[in-house]
Amino acid sequence: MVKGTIQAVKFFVDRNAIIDFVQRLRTEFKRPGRLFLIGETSQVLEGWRDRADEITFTAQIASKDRPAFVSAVENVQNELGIELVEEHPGDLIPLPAGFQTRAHRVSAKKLPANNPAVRESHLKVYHFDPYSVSFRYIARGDEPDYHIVLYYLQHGWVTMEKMESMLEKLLPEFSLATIAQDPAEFRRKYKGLQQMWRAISAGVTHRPTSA
Amino acid sequence: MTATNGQALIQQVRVTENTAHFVKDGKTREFEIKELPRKFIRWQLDYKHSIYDAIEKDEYIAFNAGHLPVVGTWQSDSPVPNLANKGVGFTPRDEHIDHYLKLVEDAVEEIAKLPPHAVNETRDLRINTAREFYKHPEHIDWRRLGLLEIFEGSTFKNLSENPLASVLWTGNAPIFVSYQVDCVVEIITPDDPRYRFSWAMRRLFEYEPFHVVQTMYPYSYCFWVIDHKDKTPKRRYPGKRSDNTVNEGKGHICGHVK
Repeated sequence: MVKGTIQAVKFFVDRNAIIDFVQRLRTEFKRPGRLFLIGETSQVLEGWRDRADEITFTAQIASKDRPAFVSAVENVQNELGIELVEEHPGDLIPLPAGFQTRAHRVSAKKLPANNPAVRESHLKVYHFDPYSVSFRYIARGDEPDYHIVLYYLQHGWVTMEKMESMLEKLLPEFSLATIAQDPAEFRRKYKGLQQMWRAISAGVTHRPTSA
Repeated sequence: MTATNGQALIQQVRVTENTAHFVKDGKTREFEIKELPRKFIRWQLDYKHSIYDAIEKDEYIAFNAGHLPVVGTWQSDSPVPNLANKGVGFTPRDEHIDHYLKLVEDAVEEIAKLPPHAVNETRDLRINTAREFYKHPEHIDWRRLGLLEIFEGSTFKNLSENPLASVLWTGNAPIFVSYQVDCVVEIITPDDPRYRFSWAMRRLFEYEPFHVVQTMYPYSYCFWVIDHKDKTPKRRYPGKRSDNTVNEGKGHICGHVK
């Protein structure tokens, strides 16, 4: 995990900041790899919402290149003064089968490349499997976490039916040995999410008319 | 209230840098001022934008929990506190207050040209003005809250005698975001830019159905934050207290990791 000091960190990151982050990282880190954007970061880049607290990502990098990648991320963080969080959802919860194949490649249109180093970069950019991300955030269950899932639902990246079918197989793997995998709490939160999905749109935080 | 008493009232709490000084009977108590936590700020900002979206669509707003926390005040010898839901907002940092005060007061001047009930005609201006402020969280002083006094009732009496207060917010299911914020309270008068800002922000939405229209605000309060606690409920695990010392911490429950 890469964390900046609170004094240096801006309140929010917007789409331009995410594009800037990817461009600078591609310029700094010239080795091959896969960068996966997660949750609000994906959603801001896709233009669904205006801002995220931080840039959340995970990366698949050859172990020999890992030190260079970490150093590049730190340099970019210092340059931009934004909060970067590297976190793999699989470090917190078991992931549904096939999560690797459900990553969405970020289209070139969403990531304009303004110089040859960026255009020719071997660091490919994806959105992490939205189902895995949804389960990870339901497990945490802060208010913005539910809205991440609601945005995925609203944009058709996940459906309730598929989530339920995946959870049938996945929940037995959850273990009370960790907070993030507490199956009883997860079920309560998931039920809450179902009710929210029926009652409100993504981004509605106040008590709505129909709830 | 005599002039002398009024003067004493507004001078009983003074703030320098990050310290609030409460002077009473020749004794001074000092309190370190703190900034609200980022998680709470994020909830507040999301809530504000959500409410502005609803006002923009002229939707029914059942309750505005982000704006209407419970405020507790007490006299030093009182066995129980006084509790009341109060409208609570935020004010710009000192270096930005002139800019935002002009923005909001200009909007108020503009909407005042139409009758108060013409809320539909002025809605865009009012919403855009409020959004402009909350769009710049870095310009907001997150160490203080702004409230307007209306009734000069129990809250006012208590704060006049003992300028300390606790504020409790509670959000919606299934999260039940809950924060307690403890404050030392500066009572301020209508000439203060913080009073003018809080009043003008209130005036933007005075005639919306979710407000009971008021015309008299003798004072406003600047609640300086001296402590905060995240009281959002979490599951209690064996061997741990239920006071939020259990955080996600990479998912592990201390003592239960294999």
